[in-house]
Amino acid sequence: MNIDTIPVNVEFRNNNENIVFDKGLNIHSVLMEIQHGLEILCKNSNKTMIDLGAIPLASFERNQLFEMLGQGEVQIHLSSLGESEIYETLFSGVWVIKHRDEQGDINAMFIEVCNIPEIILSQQEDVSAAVTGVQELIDSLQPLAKLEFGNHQF
Amino acid sequence: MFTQDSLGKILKSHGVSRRGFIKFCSTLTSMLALHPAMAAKVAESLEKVQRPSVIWLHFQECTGCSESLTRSHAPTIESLIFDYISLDYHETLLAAAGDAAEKAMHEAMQAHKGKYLLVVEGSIPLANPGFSTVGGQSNLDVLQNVAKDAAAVIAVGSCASFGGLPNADPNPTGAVSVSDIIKDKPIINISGCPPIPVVITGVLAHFLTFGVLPELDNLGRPKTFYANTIHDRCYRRPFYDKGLFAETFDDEGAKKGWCLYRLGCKGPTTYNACATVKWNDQTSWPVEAGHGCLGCSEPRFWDGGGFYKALSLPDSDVRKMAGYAVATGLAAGAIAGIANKIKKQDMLKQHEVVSVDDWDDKS
Repeated sequence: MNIDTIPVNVEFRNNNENIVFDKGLNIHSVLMEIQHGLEILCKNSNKTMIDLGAIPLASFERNQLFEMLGQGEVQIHLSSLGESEIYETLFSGVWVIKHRDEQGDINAMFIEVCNIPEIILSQQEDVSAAVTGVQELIDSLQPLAKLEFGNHQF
Repeated sequence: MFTQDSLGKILKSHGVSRRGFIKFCSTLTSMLALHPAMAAKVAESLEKVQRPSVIWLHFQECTGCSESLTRSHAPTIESLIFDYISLDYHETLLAAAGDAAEKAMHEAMQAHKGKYLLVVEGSIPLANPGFSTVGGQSNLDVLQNVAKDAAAVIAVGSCASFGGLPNADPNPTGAVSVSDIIKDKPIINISGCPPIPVVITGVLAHFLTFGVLPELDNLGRPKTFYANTIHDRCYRRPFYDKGLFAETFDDEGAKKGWCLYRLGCKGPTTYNACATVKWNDQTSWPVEAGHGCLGCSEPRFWDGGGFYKALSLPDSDVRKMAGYAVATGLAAGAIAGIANKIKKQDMLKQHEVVSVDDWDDKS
């Protein structure tokens, strides 16, 4: 028996298949928080982070929240300790961040209301390491006279 | 309690970038139910911490708590935590057996005397020491011996925390909890049958991050995970507030995902994090699957009067009480909470004690 065949229907769609939510339900609260975050971002550039793991949302509600927010122009793929999916929603300044582990399981999900999520920025410590790394790359280059390409010597 | 290298140093040696470390800390912050903005503080703290030594003992239990932990598809957060604590002794996971295993435990106890964390899974039988022994020693002797030099004791699961199933009436083995025996060490109870894996690792992570045990509730449980009732954090709560209840498991209300209160859900009197942390990599949890909460993280939940017997009052009474609440200036939730507590106590009193003799009489 497939899980999809279990006759439980807790989605909220009208006859046109559009998502319909009662104002009193959980998604309404999250949308209000996003709206508040956007107002703060406009007013003083402060960011807001919403941890979706800390909010009482059923899986179907979370999926439908993502569906309602949609996907905007920017999608970013982060590969570090597993894959992370980061994208701006249809609403500018509202970002969805899904952190996965090496097995592909989602560990944490956030909605970040900001100009750019902090994890995207190059980290100063990595940049410092990059200075050393690039220097080592330069040092590893062979002197020009010793290079050989096929039968040609330079 | 700590071994040489800091976590930050170990992660760097594994080739984890600063960005990866921040991702790890964001996930950890979410797991510890801290505000997401705390991730930077967590990162700062974790950079410096060193690996604590952990000794994990099994007593009168089903190993479900260890199963819960190890069958959590080993997501990075758990595996990292377990890579970066020094799990020096765990009877189920240990490769060594017999004398070699016992030697490993004694070596860890000596090397980290007064500093190691002791994790206990299972209750301790007092009626007869022979009911549960390891290496010829009774559970009571092993616990007292290993706890003596521990920095703190973590009781994992409802058996170690409150006696659990072995303690259910008529408690044939005289099962008791860790805190019934150990009185001179900090004890943290991570109740649940089994507890949520992330809660187990979350407590260890909290200790790793902040160097102290988390704040506890009146039953010795970490408030991070046990501060709210299942009911308070349930996604079906709006239906309760509207008085919309499933009456049977296959009626229209059940199909529409309404509140399971009348089907015996113990969410209103159960403190745990299932509603937000969920199970199986955040896939779902009992109420989302259509079944009421059993209340497994509460003391004596097996003797709580039947899993399918409604704890509380019908919605008409809830509404009536809400009216009284408004009139008296009290929160309706507080009134319903008091009513639930009284009803729970009544059920515990009325619970029929079944002995082995009763079974013999019936057969």
